[in-house]
Amino acid sequence: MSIHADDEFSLRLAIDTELDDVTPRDGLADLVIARYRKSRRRRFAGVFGLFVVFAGIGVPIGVASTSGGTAARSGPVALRLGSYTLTLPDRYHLGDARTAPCATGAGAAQETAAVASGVCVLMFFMPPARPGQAGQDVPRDAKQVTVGRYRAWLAPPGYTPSGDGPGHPALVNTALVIEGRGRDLVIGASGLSRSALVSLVSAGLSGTGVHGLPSEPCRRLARGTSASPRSTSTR
Amino acid sequence: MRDAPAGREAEFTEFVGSASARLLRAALVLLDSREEAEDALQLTLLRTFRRWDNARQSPEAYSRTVLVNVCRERWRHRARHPEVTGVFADTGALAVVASFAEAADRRHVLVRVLRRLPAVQREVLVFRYMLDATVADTAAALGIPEGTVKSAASRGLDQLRMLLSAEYEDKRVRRVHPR
Repeated sequence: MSIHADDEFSLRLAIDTELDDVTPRDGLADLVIARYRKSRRRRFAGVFGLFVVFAGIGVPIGVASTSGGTAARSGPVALRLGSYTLTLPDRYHLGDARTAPCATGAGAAQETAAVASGVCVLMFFMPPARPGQAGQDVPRDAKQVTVGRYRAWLAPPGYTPSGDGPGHPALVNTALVIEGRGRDLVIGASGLSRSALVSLVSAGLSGTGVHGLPSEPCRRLARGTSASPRSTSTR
Repeated sequence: MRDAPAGREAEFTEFVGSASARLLRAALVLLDSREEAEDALQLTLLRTFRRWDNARQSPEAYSRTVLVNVCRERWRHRARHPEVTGVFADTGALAVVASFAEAADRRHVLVRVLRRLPAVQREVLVFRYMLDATVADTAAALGIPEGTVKSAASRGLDQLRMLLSAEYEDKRVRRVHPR
């Protein structure tokens, strides 16, 4: 067809005639639908990947923050029971009192535990033999030591103290009995030597429920008399 | 009874069968080459299919608007990233025709002349005379007043007549006095 300005001008007809050989490729709709599906799969994979990444970062942080883990915490760890506080180095983190490897299973109201790599530290009250009188349950061959400002007994190997509440004996290989007012405090550990436990407690124990030195029992100790009426039960 | 995605795809396939040729020709006028036009058409159809639930009421109008947006994106991209010319300057015959598609394009005198029009006039002529859009639809799709559509159409046609006259005069001269 001739297109000329002098002709009767019909642009639509002229274009249709000139471009009648311009046709889209076969199967264009299928191609577009396949491309759409592919992009949707990619988008879904991207969203899913982001979800996995955020879950992978967020869940450990959440778990660590609720269980006192290392991811959300920095600085020393304070192990508290009653009015006592045992400050531990920052490699420790608070453990669940029921499920900690060394716990007696008596629960958080009765005991508290902290764990580090291969080490478990447990703190609980020893039941008084008589109401209002502490220090009745320390074994005969316990070694009396001074731990910081406090008087304590280092239990012999094989001694497995029991807590105040229901539960099995503590799974500790080292135990230190701190004399307190009314009831004694037991700090046990698995994975620590006796000297390491003594230095850990010396450095970190504080509280208002313990006797400070020089106390009356310690003055008596210094004079060479019996410190307190200890019973001889060994468990 | 067909399930929803299958029905959606069948509707879309039917629409592509009826409208894609016109959209491709419009893209060919708005852009510079057959390859670009085919790419733009695919992208237009893809975007239309993504929003098919909205587009199915009036898929022609929806796809026209998408097409002009795709073409404008390409113009902007080309303005930001101008091609380096002269790479094929000394390669003889190959420099003249880069592809068969381009060779085919060269036969389209009217398309070539339309491409020389200013952008607004070209878009208006494409919408009015190739995509059969009304003045109101053209104004809405291009985002310009209806008065501008009318004046751009009128000026575009005048310009087109003038350019075509010059084109044919040039051809006639060449035929009489071959170089």
